[in-house]
Amino acid sequence: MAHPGPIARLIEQFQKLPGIGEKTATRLAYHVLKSAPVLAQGLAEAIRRVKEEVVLCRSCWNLTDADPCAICRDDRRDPLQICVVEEPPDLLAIERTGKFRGHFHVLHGALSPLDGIGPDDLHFGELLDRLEKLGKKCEVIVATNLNADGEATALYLARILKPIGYRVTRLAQGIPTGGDLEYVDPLSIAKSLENRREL
Amino acid sequence: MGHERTAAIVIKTTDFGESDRIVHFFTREFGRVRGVAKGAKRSLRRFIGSLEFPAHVDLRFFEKKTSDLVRVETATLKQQFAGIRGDLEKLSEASLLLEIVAFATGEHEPHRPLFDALVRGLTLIDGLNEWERKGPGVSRLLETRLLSLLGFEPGLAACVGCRKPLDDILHPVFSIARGGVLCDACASGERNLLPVGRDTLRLLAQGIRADIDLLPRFTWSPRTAREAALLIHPFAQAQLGRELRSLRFMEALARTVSP
Repeated sequence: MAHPGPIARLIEQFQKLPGIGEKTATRLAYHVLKSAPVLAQGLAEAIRRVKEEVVLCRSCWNLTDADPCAICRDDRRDPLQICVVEEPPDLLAIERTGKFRGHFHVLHGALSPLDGIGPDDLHFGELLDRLEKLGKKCEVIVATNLNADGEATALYLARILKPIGYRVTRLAQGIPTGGDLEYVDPLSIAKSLENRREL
Repeated sequence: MGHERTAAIVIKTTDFGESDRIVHFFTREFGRVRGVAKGAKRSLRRFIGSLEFPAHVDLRFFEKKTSDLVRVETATLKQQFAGIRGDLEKLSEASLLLEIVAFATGEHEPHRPLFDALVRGLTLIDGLNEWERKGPGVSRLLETRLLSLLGFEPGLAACVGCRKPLDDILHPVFSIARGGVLCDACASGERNLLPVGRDTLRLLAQGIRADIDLLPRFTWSPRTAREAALLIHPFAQAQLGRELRSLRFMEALARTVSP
């Protein structure tokens, strides 16, 4: 027997979300149906508001509900340090450390030869405009992921920024906390040796 | 069906759910294989660095009858290709080779000579010095070699219309549509022809049969390297019937930066 129309529609909508198959979508739909009306109203309202109120900060391209975003508005942060990340969750991961007091720039992706994602598809131009206004004293900290696409993006940034006089640094690469040397890949160990420090 | 083991090259990895990854491999014994690596995103032991493009790994997987995806059990690194990962031009070329292989081969259709040539090609690119001088020529020869192994060998030694030997052709031209060189007579009336030097065609023809380790010894001029690219890249796209994304990336890169 088929689901009643409204339930079938909700299942169909849930199934459009990443990682949700038919069974999970059905379970979620029936959970919404059985819950108090306030849950469904809250869910619908939250979805509506996220689409209406979240915009991109026109300075750093982070997601925000006020443009410029809170980080860009914060006068206590160092404007001459720009940390470049691939996606907004990467920015949050760095913010969670509490160790970085500079500004960010979100590229919204990484260069990917296999996917045909080139420099024109990311927010490189906006970064260059920003740096030009800030001057050559800026340090650009490249915090893209340490996979092939992230490395390609880091190499590209170094290629375009260093010749015009900017200091470009890369997040250190090495053995993760809790990592066991026996299981760490040779490249990470080699990088750890290169970037070793005095105790 | 069951537990399997093979050498493999990682083509692509995508996140799947909270902590898993879906990995596309080109394997020596099974052709292209897609698999789920459970917990790969969070694990500090299993899969560290071994599921990254273009790692060469010793892959162990479990295949179920009910799923297209295999379950990746272990992937032990054999080669990580640090030289490729640390150079934008080498990375682009490695991507192009893998894109050609990934598009032109089927899942579970093994092609051992192709796999061996790919591994040797990646190893060569990884350790190649003086990339600016030698890289373009070596790259064109590797691309031509892989295309040839896939059954898309361009006709380079003689006219593909009348079989007249290259040395006897006064003004050789390359026809993308015909997939090879044409003599003056056969070229008449044909469209989209590329004028090409005899020396460029000879270099490519010799490169198809040469030992891969010897490819850096071939001497390319800026003209022959440029001509080879103008010929092989459209040829590859025409034969494969699709745009190669890595080429689009390379073109975008060339527009914005100089090496």
